[in-house]
Amino acid sequence: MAKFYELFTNFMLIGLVVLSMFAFSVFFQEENNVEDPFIENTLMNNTYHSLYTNLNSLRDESQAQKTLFESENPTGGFGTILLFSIVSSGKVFNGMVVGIFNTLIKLPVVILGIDPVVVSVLSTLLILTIIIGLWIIYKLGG
Amino acid sequence: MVCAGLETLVDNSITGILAFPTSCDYYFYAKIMFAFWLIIAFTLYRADKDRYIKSDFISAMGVSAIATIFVSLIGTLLKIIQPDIFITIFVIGMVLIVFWLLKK
Repeated sequence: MAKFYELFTNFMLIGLVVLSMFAFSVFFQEENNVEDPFIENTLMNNTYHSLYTNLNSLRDESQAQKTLFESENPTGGFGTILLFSIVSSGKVFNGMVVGIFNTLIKLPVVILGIDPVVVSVLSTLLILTIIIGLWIIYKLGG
Repeated sequence: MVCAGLETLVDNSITGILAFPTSCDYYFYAKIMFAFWLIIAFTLYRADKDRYIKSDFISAMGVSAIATIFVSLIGTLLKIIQPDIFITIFVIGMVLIVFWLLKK
């Protein structure tokens, strides 16, 4: 139903594909001296840089979570092992998914004029999926 | 819609001839790109249908959206596709690609 790992992988892949399309288009137009490059559009420029910043921070964030995870001493619980660092990882990684969603959704809303109700419903679906996915991870460990 | 005759064409280069239809229909190449996307999507879908038992139209739409974005990018270089039309094509293509990747 709601596998957080798959959702996270999909969103990172989407971010990477869209960023590479942006980058290719920008470099292609720059190299060929196109008079009116599309990156001069404020919205496209902001989206490109926001996406780049989001994905660029991925390595540092995941490294910080790995360090936190390694530094924790597992506590024996009732028939399980308790690791509280997984909660922190969940918070950080779900923030990345929501960040990429918020960055990308601006484009269709502004350019195509999608109704805010649609965005609201999609956001709700995404957030609910994240909450359930994270709860499954916290509860069952995966 | 009445378009001006070819005798009014000023720029006789390939780019000028290609850009001529946009003088009477601003969305001429947007329509061409839509037709291009549709043809590629259905061709891919048909090819998948022959190859697999269950073919996937969403992936065909996503792949053809990538092709359409790249062709329209070349169009901006030839000045036959205006930046605002390219942005619209880019965003619609991006939405299709997101659907495709989320479905995977």
